[in-house]
Amino acid sequence: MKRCRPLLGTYVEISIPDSDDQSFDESVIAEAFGEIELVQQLMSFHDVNSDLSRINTFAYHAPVKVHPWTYEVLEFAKKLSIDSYGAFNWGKLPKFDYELEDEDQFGASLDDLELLGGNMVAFEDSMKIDLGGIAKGFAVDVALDVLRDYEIEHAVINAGGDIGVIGELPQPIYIRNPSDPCKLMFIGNLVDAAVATSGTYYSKDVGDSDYSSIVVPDSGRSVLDALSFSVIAPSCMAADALTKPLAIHKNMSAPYFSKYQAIGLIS
Amino acid sequence: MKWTPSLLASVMCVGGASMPIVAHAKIYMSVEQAQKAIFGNVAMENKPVVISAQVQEMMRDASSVSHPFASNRIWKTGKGDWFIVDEVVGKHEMITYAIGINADGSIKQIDVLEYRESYGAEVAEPSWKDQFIGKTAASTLKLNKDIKNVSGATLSAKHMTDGVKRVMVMYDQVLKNLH
Repeated sequence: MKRCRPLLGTYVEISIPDSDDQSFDESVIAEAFGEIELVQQLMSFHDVNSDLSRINTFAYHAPVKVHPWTYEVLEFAKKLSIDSYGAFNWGKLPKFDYELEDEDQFGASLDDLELLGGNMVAFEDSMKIDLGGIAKGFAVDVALDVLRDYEIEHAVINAGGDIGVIGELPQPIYIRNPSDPCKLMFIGNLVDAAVATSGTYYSKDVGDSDYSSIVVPDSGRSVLDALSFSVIAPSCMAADALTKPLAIHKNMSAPYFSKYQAIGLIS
Repeated sequence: MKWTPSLLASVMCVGGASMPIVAHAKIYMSVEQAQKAIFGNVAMENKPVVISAQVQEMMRDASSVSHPFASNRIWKTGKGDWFIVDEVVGKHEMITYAIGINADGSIKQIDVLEYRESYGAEVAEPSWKDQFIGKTAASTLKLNKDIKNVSGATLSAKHMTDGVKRVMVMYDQVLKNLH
């Protein structure tokens, strides 16, 4: 059974192969989508009622209580920021495309994020964070947990290109040829793990400059090489997040990969 | 966790001949399956409507979706819920989707029914060629078996968000007041 819904700004597909070994019905998939909807509600940058918007608005003035999932994602982000030597920071848009009320917001970093325990979050500096580089992967992970709870043995969730796999059946994984995105390349088979890919092939021209969605945190410059950066990891959140340091350092042997039991691939 | 890289991935080179671009379709659900998935086993009545030029213009203005809305794909439950099928542009092809609206006017659920995309395959592994034997660019590929797990940025769902906007305008202007 395969189902697809628009969520997280993209299309999310849940596939459970029909077989004698696993019985389930529509409601299991609906429940998994429900978890993804919850992640969307909590971590949407544009929704003023999301946890993310509340901390972006208030956490500099007073600690804000968030959902345990939001807290978990922030904890992971902060740790990875340290482990990746600052290459993973939250998604900042290139300077010329991002209207900031306070220019100093560009100097802020995950160092200024205070995790106080009890799901309380505070900011030490005025800033806005964006969990886009990690929330999608987290959503795949929580949805897969629902399926595991129902003892589903084989499943694939694809959330706009972030893929999580349960089960022993190898799943062939393809990426778009970064020089010719209409064409696909087969990169390998995945079992019980996740893969995420960042590429610059959907970059846009902004005025006289090019920019891509991969930004070097300190300088605000875009990564523009015609390359594709994939990470295979035990969790989709880790795979999603690690594509950013991979794109910036371009070092598949960087120590943070083994630390997160991940593999980086540049094409 | 287990990852078995392809030969391509191991040596990190891009090579091989290009394959023709072919159209792939993923059919997730039929209309009947979607009705059941969203509203369960309730009876539904097909309620096609006629949409005035004025309402069509309101729909276009609210959504910037310009292709016509086919207003015959509308069903109603006994309790006043509505089930509507519409289409929006994906990348090059159309995406057919269904939206369930509760009797109180809130959106219950949105499901994609059919998703079509065009892409081709770079031959990176010799076994890749085998699946194309006997097929031409004009062949109808086997549905569901040709789904590729593609990692990497795919399509923004913005067009679908726009599509839903125009459906909700139509609901507000036409369906809400129907008995």
